[in-house]
Amino acid sequence: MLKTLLKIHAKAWMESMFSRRRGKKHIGVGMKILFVFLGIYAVAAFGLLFGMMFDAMYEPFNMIGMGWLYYAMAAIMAGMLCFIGSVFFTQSMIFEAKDNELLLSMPIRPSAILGSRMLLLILINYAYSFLIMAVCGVVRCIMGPVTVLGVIRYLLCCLLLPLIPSTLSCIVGGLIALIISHLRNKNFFTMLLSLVFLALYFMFCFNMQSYIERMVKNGAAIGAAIQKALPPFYAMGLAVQNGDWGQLLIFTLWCVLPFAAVYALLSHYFIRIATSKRGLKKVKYEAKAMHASSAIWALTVKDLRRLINSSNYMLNGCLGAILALAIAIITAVKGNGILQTLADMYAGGADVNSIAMPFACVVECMTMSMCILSAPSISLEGKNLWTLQSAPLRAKEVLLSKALMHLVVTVPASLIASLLFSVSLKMKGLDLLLIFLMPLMLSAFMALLGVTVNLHWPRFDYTSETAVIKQSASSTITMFSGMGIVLLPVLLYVLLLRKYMKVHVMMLICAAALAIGVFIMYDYLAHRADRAFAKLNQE
Amino acid sequence: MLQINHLSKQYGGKDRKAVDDLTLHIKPGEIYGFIGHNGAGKTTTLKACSGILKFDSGEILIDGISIKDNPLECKRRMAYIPDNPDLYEFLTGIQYLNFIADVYQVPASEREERIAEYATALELTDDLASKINSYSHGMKQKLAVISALIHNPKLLMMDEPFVGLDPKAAHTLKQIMRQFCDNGGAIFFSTHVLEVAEKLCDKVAIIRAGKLVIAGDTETVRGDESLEDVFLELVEESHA
Repeated sequence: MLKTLLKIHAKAWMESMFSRRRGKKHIGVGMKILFVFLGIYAVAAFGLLFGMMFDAMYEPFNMIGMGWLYYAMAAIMAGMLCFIGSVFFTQSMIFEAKDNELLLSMPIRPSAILGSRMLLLILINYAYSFLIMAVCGVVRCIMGPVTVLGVIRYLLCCLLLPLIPSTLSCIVGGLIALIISHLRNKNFFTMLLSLVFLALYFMFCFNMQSYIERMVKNGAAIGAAIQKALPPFYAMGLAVQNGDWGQLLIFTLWCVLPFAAVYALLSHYFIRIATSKRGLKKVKYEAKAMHASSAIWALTVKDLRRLINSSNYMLNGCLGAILALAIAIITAVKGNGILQTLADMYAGGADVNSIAMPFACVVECMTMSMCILSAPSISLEGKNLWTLQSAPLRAKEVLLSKALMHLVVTVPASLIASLLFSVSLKMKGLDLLLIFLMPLMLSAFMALLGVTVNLHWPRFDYTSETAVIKQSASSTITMFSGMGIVLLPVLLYVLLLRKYMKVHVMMLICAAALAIGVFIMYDYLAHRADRAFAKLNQE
Repeated sequence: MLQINHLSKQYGGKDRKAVDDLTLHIKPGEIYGFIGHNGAGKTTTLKACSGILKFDSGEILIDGISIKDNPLECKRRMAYIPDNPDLYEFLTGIQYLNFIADVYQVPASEREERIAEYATALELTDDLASKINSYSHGMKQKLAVISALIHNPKLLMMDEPFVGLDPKAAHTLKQIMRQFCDNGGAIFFSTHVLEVAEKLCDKVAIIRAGKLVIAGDTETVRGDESLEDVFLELVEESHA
């Protein structure tokens, strides 16, 4: 039974993550190569990032006789990644799963349903954990000889480790579900929490170098703190470093016992958790005067309402705008330190003061290119597409309303960010014009690009909106195209053209190129997209 | 009001036609029932008539206008309710109705009047401020009916409109349908509930495997038998 349930849950999860649309059109070879390339790039980037970090940590910790801290730090990082990656999954998969009631009506023990879901959670956490623990292991093998027993102990620890973040995810996911059940605006709360987790993640990334330096300098103090506050990781470190089987047993107990306790507790309350109704409070209607508006504005407002009612859509679609605003606000409050940090990370440590406008402009454009609100907007019509197709609407109205929805969100964010950059970096004349013009042109371009791409790569057979918002072909193509459109001219200028033209001229050429792109896509969506729109969801 | 002439539609990858040379004429003032077993081609026909689905051959005229040549004008004159009322769940009932009224460009005063009238009749007024995701299937069906009537169409096409409605709402819907046709409108709807078709419809058409088996006045089609007996006999005959 457990095997069958696990298979069903895994299939549903895989479907929501990776399924492609049914029908005749399949993803082409070019797209498959692109996805494989992106996958390899992501794994390589992760591997390189953590590889460099572990490389910097191993020797200093060993020199001060705290080699166990190397493994403990890897386990802590893996645990954090698992937790951030799985906490919201826990909430939707265990506490708010749509098929809970169906499964409970069958002759299956509630504990088996819960067990199968928690097992899937552990399997997912293995994937997250592998990203870090594999790198940690490889770096250790490069640094010096290892024994067979040492490898076995390390693998045993890797097998047990995901139980800790899984336990934490279940507890925190349960608390989130409990809090949400008492709130009216659950989407806002979920988005706020996601932003907090993301902010923590970005803070960690921005400060990683200084963390490593501090760890190397104060290894003993940090080691003592971990020993006191995080004993399972201390036990794990000692088990691997010193070959201590007793510590391995202690680590095993730290992993297994809390997990078993949480499983027993949740099993006891599972029926109550699974059958409670959440966030569907009824409000009595009181008639008010109604106002008529144009069809295109009605469509735009409808899509904006979809956006504010989906924390997933808000977070993924607006993340770029939030980042642009955050960087602009930090620059306005604390000076250009954050821009310099970004230059150190991504621009070879260039001095930001000498390139303030172009660098701020690139940062803003880069973050704004991550706004992909319009890219899943046609797919998100899903089962509601009949409403638009049976109404007296031209394709132009529907498609441009989706671009307009994108602009309603991104243009104010872009204007505020540009204003903050221009004031804090004291811009004048052409600098002032370009810091406003470039991000606005890019927003318009991204809005129309998202709709155009989604019109040709729509997906309506999804079971979860996440599949469309985060993993669909149209979202991926739009986001990477946007990043490419920002990065390619930058690389072209830095590597080739800087000798021949001033940066302002280059930026004006880019603005003109974006304007041409905007015009071409507008013309297509407004006058030549009727057939493509009529073809949507015809099978 | 609705003329379907030699309509044929075949889905890609399927051996047989979903709708095969179907011809039907629905006049103003008529309630026309469309009967057939699951997969007979009812939904495909209704979707083609509403402009959602492209068809391979034939012609569909709404109020004398071809849906192929002038879909927007046709859509302004009609309303369609699908079998499963998939509405925008993130909107409240009143937001959804307002959205539909904007799409059909219904003046504010008219939409207020019609919403008040139909929501009261279908007992949905109190729930209009709630999100659609809190609605039951029947409530969604009622909301879909109100949204279909909000622009005062000439032709109403409905796919299984009585599914999920409580007896009182079903009775009210029948009254609304009758009143709609008495005022000169036409209704073309599919149903599995043969008792409803027998009592409510002026005309019925029976379809099997995409082909029309029989069509005509309800009285004539059923003769001395019940519509259920006639349907079973005809379907068996055409199957043999």
